Amino acid sequence: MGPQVALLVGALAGCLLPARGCLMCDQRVVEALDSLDKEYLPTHMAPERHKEVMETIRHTVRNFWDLPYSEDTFMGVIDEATMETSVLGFLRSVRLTTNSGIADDTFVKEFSWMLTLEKAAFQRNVARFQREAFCPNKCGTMLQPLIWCSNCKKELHVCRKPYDCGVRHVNVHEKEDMILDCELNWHKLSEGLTNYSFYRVWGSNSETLVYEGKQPTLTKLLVSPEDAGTYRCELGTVRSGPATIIHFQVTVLPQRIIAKTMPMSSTFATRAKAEEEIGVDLSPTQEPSECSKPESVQRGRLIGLLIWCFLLLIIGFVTGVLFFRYGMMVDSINSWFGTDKAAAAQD
Amino acid sequence: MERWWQLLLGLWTVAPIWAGDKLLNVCMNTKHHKQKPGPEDKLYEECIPWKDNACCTASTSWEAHLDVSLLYNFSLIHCGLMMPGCEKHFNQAVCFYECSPNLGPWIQKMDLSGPGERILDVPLCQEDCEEWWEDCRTSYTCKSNWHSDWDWSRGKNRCPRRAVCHPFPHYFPTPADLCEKIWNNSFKASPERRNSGLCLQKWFEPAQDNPNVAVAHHFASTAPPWEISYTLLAFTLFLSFLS
Repeated sequence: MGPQVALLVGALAGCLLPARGCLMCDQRVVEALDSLDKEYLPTHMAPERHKEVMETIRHTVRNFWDLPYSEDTFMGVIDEATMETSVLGFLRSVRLTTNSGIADDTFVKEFSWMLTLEKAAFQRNVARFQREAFCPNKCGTMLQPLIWCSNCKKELHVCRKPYDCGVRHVNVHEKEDMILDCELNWHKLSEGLTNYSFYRVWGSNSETLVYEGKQPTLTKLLVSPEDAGTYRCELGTVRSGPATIIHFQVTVLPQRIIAKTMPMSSTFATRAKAEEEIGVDLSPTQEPSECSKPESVQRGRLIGLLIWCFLLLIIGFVTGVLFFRYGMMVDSINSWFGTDKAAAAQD
Repeated sequence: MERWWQLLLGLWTVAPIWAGDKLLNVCMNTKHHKQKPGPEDKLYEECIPWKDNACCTASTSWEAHLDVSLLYNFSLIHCGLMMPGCEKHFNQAVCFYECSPNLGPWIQKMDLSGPGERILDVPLCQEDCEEWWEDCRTSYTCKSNWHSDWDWSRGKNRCPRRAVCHPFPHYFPTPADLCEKIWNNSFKASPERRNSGLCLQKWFEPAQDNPNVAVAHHFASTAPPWEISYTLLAFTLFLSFLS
């Protein structure tokens, strides 16, 4: 009777006391505390205080998760990433304290202070997780793997948000490609997802399956007006309900026509486009000459050359004539002077 | 004169069976229930077993699964997130309550003036209460009676000031406590086991037929419809005085 009662009490007590506490779920933390107990304290603490100090430390770490419940700060769960950050920070702090080699009262004071800071850091990490990473889906159902601090179990939590993920309006021109994208940013974070299915919706109650598979997008090449209408995509789960349902309202716009005017301008357009695609960086000065490369340029140059030659010829001719004339003029002037002198000399 | 006696006697025997039929395949009169039970092809998850004949709509079945149920603004996460195994039982219980067309014999009027109705002492099979209790051992709550004394100041229920969160067994030491005190004795922990025909299951495999139909039948026919009985008795006595 006696031992059975004791066992029962012990079992009940086990149920009542906060069993593990978040950080203690990690084996590395347990080992660090064991090493503190078995290796550090025997050499840095009086034997009569050893046990009590160790129990206080264990109790404090176990109570890290003793935080008020609120959807903004803590709901008794964390994810793997938050656990990792918190554990590494804690281990680093423990190492720093033990590396300093302090003992007795100094140790107790420093270690208590370190634990206070670590608990505050843990609280901050958890609040950040709760605000930003907990059930990040804004619609649909997400299966998120979480760790429960109470018993260290890692299980899938079902994040249920408003059922429908809405309607997307898609406009696509005729003869172009239509792409319907069903992927939301949390799909990669969720577990338990199966296939994407795209359905073409006719009227109020009938649908035909268009695609089912792992690809989150449905592509239709060279759309025609018959492709306009309502489409529905669904991401399945290993459970019974879907993870996401999105409707697409597709409108097919008239075909885009590229304007065709003069040949020059069209070549200009194709060339400019070709340059864009290749990524050639043209300086503005080069462009006009680049633009007018063909025969017209050469012809212009030829004509210019001819004109210059002609001009040069004319100038040469005129100069020659002038010289000749000049010569004659000089002779005539000389002869006139000469006769003058002769006349003067005769007098 | 003998004719009258025979007629009344006949009525007396027929009346219970006739009244009993009114308790079968009915829906409660509440905000979320349908008027009459019927097939539903788009029920969500734990409500799927009732697809052939249900008192709940597809959207009600979806809302039954939310952490803070839109049906009653009641928060199951008042002491942090529940373990998925425990949450499943609550979803099943809400589906049972919203969708089952076999609760007729236990429907009571909320108050004599208004139209609202509730269920009282629906006998749940022993396995149902036990599995529910077992799977919720590692989840937390802060009250042993969920009917009243919540802090509703912020729209949904929160633990009252001095109520500390402890694992379920602390506030519900036995499976019977859990079944009965969760919803103010809507459920009763029956000592009967499944397939005995004397207790209802809060959930069953979607592939099997609803085992609660036969159970409701049994309870409906044995239930004494006291209004009719007493009326007939009074009438009989009155006639006997006359003759």
